[in-house]
Amino acid sequence: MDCKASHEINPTGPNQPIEKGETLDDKLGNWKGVNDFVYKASRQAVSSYNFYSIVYDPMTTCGCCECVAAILPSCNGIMTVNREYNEMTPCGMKFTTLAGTIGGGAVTPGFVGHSKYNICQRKFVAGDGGLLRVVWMPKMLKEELKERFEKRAEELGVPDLLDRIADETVGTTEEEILPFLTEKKHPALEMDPIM
Amino acid sequence: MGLTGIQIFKLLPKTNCGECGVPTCLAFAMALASGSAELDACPYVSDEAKEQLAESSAPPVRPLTVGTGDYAVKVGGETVMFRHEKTFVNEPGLAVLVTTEMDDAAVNDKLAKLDKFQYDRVGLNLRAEMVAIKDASGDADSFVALVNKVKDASQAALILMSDNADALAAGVKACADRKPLIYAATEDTADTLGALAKETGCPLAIKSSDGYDGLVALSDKLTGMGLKDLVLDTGARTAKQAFEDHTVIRRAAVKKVFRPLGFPTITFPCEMADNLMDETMLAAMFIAKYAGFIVMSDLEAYSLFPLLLERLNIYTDPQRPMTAEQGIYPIGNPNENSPVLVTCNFSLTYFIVSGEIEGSRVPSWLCVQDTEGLSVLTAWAAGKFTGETVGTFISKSGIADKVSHKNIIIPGYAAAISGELEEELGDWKILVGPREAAHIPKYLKTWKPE
Repeated sequence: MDCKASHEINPTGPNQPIEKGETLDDKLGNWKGVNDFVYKASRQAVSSYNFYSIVYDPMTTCGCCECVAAILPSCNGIMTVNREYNEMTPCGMKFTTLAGTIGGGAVTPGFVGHSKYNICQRKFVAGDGGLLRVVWMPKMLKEELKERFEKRAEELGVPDLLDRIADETVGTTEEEILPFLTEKKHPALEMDPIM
Repeated sequence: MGLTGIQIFKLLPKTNCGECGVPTCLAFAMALASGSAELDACPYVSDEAKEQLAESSAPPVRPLTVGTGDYAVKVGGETVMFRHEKTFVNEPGLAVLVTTEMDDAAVNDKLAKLDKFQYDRVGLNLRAEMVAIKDASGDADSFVALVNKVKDASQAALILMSDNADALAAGVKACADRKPLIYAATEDTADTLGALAKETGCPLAIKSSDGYDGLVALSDKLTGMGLKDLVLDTGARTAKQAFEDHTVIRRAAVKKVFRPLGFPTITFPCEMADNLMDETMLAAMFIAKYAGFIVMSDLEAYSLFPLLLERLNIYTDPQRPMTAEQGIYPIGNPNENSPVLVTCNFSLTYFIVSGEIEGSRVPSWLCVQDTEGLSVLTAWAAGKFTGETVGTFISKSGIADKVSHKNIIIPGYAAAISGELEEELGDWKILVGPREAAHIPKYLKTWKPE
């Protein structure tokens, strides 16, 4: 709705309608029409963009996203951190560093900026395994999203997923959280390698 | 650009040992990908990985340093064509030329100007930082004498210029401890000067009379001899050609990662114009367009200051807000009855607020809180300028020992924090100052401690 209105107010502004066109990859969310648009709009710098992946050709943001997700290779999963959380995270970078990494048009495989609600949507990093990949979130984000999160987790057949996800009380390094994930039998550990 | 962070990460040990200075291998890989870290920082990387990464991890324009100590000039390390793509990294060095043809007085005059025209702006010292010493006659003795004179008179980084390889070698040996730039090896002198650069560890400029091909051949030859720090001069002495050359060289380095041209350049406005105005204009162009070292025939306040400001502006990282250091800034000899103001550390805010306080002629204490470079309202909205942060800062700052009253003035736009701050600071009285810095003088003039 917002985008439609913005486009009507300013037809040459930042919000533009894009025809998805031919589906090139339904798992990662890759469309020809989108790629063509991105290629042109990025002045030939970016040729492919996947809607549902953090690892392969992920989205860029302006840097003002609510959360940034990053892969945690040794946990075979991803973490996400919200803007309000100022401390160190298991990927070794704070939110501000992460936002600098993914923002401003930079396409950075392994990292993606997103909104809070996006986490509980069905398409959240669906190409890499979706919500079940999430192994770490700050406690405050867990609490904020609790209701929506649990609903979505139930859909996935893992109703207690939120409790199996580590937070800063468990640890802020991959080494610290891995034993917790193993003990809780986090589903990400059983999934295909993330990279 | 080369590999992505993830591709680099796959080649790293994945031990998260932290010995490289960042906590995880992933974070280190990201730093490598952006060219802000060197692979050598990782003590455990395998030789195989090193080889694969060498290409992508080294910045496309090699960083190198001329000079030592305070006046060391670091150039190169650039990763983009345009500043708005990311940032330019290392400011080009500005040099003033002295030659063996000049009399003592003229040389002294240039050196005095180098010393005199220094400007303190936004907490930085702006100045030209190099002297180019030119041997005009090919006479080793007079060249060495001039080198010694300049070396003793100034700490500036040195560029030694001579067409005579023997004179150049004598000059370099006289000041090798100052790490001068040797200018310049040509096809004829590459062997001698290459050996000299290797022996002394000084960077070496190369100049070819045979266009890009000649330059590439020279660069390959000297790299083959084991030299790493080279500086390029295509020999162009017209504005158009020199501009074109600089663009071609930067493009080859950044876009194609073409190593033979992946070095900083040196350019000579002093040989391209016959008056200082034109020369300055050319220098301005080269600051914006890719020069590593810029040699000027003379320095005057009116020519140098604009160049210094231009250089500062263009080479300031647009991704990071400028900041002032957290602390208490006394303005105009304040005493124990002077007003105490608090603001954030966004440098524009700091300079405007401190400027207005100075303009009010009311001696004051300005407390600057670290808000990570955000301005007052932005910092307040981001939770970095709240009753709690300001309270903690003020209690720890030691300002209470400097004044006998307990009044603190907060920015008008941050009036919302006054209640919370009152709770934090207990016995302090919180006064809400004006919203706009322009109204500070009026406010301070009527201010009385309670």
